[in-house]
Amino acid sequence: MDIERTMIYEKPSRLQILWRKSIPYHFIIIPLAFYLIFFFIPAIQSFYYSFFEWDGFSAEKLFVGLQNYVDLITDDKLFIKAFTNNIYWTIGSLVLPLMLGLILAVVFNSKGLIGRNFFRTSIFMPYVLSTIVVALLWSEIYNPQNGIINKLIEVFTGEPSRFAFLGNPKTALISVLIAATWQAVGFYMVIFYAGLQTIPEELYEVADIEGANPIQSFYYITLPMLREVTTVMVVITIIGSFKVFDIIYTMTQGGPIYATEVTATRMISEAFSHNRFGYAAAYSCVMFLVIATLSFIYLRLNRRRVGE
Amino acid sequence: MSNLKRSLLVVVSLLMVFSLALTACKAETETPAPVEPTEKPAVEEPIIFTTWDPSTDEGVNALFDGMNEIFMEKYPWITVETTHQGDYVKKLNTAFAAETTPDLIWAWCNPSTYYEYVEAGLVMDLEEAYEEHGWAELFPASMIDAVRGSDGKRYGVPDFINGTVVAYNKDIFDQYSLTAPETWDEWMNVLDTLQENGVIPIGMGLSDGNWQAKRLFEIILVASTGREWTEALYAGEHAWTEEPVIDALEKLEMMGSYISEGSLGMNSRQGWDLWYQQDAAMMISDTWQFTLHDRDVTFNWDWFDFPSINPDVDATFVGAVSDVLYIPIYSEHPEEAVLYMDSFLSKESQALWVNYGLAFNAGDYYGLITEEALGAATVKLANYINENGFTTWFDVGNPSDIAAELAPTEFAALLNGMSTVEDAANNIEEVAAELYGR
Repeated sequence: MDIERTMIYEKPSRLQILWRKSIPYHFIIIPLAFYLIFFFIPAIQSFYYSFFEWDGFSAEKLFVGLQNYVDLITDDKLFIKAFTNNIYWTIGSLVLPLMLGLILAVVFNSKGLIGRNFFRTSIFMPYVLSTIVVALLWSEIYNPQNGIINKLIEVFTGEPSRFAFLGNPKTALISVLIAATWQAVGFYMVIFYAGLQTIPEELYEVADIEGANPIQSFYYITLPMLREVTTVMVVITIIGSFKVFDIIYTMTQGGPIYATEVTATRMISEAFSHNRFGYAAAYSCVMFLVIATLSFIYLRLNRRRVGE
Repeated sequence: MSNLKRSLLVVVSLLMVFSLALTACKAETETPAPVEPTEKPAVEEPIIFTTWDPSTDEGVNALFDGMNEIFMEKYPWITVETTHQGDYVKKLNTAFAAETTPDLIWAWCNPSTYYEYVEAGLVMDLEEAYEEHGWAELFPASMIDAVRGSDGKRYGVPDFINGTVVAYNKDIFDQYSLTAPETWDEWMNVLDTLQENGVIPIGMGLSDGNWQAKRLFEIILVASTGREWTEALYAGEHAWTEEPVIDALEKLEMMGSYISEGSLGMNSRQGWDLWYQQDAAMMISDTWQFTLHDRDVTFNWDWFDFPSINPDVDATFVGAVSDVLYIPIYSEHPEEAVLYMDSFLSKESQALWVNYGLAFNAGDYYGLITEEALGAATVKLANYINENGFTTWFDVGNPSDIAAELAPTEFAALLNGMSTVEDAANNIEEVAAELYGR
């Protein structure tokens, strides 16, 4: 053996080991800093303000402990109303844009469909519009005096139609949800469509040979194979539904008579109309807990089902 | 847990504690000192002077720009940078909280954009500036009183009085041989005649804050109970369940069948468009809109003050100082701000306002409010306001807990048959009783 040519292995120092292990984290330092400054720290500040009675602009704040939370949960009828509307919005969002997006993705995944690229693009286009533009557009569509829906009803019935879709407490929320669905369905469609591309074609061929009809293929192959995508989309929908604000604020401002009031519009009202920043901060903390809890429960249930 | 993960956890925890400490610590704000009498600086250093105003209309923006030019001609070392903001309540709150306000604020004269900042000690008092420049002589006392804080000091300079009237289509009125009503019975006759002939009596949109419902209620209330009683109600001296209020709410409920169908589904602009398009014969108009009407309507139009309901009461014009100029304590150029206010109140600047069509301002002091400039009706109203004052608008006289959301929502519900008079009165009284400690 040539001892001189034998390589001598030097054990790296502790510092060198730490440096090598830390390299992946170097790439996330900037986004992490951004996240901390613009999301995490304001969230902590919001939690801090929720223990105070504060108008949002004075130097003085009055420490009230948990009183804001107590008032919110026990004494605020509008919070219950707003929270209920958020639940309705969540259910509506799970039924309308999510399911419709899935169905459209399956339809446009079919081979031989003429013009599917055109239709896919057309359905996705509203998603790139600003929510404010969508809200203003649909406000005109729903206009009781000059809106296109009322004009079409007049054409088909021959009778004057002045129905106030956004002015009737029974129809206002679903009307805004339809506008939101028109905007969002393209996004869901694109995500599910991408998910469908990962399903092996052979599974459908085998099912076809075995005599399965399209509905059985969809139920026994497509849905299970899209479970992970669906899980993500459901969590995104739940989070988005409890945060919904801009389309409702632009179209109805939470009216008529609080029929479309949601927790985000209540928060803005408490903070800027009533100058109760501490109370509005308590709102945001409660909603954070609700969203986190619902998301956690859903993910745990889903993980258990996958395990089974 | 690896050492790196442990280190990261320590760093994140320290950041959390640091942010908590950062939030808890804030420098105390000093008590604002009154603005000292101004003197031209010995050395004219170039200054950028920033202002915010609530205008979104091109014509009014041009008005502000014209005033800035007059000011900059007088003080060439000062460059004025004006930002036209629109509804900037939220932005104002944030600016005050962050201590990054402009040098001068031109905002609506109501609690959420002026009075609450005055009471919080965030606005400079102008007592010495008023004494030095003699501004009080330029306005009727009622306008000056409108800009005082609860301590009686003057914190702002008013611009003009805005009020609520009924604008109507003269052509439609002539078609049905109608004239501007002066009593409640004549008013009901006008409404019924229009409705029987298939004309929408009042174009109204309520989806953006229900403020038109608030306007309609307050002109009914003042016409019924008079100025003194109305302002006592707003000040908490009467209950919302008392008979005069119930009577006014019943009359408001009655108006519901005469406003455009689906009003809750239209915003105020869409409601006004019904009048502009001649589908509706009348609209509840603010006086600042007269210039827009002159510019945009294609028919003969005029206006009348809401008819008298109770001739035994002092039912004045309902309005308020529209906007107020004030100096936030965080202004970097308070002396220049006083110079700007003085320039705004000069004859040249006031002439711009009158030429634009706005009356009820300091232009009267300079003899600019003439029939030739503004028409006989406006001069008549200006003289009336000078002699009798005005009844303060609902959202200026009431605390924001009632005015900002609660009451307008109740009024809109009543107008659209979604509530009862008893419920509306009780709901508002519940909050009012707590506010006023009844």
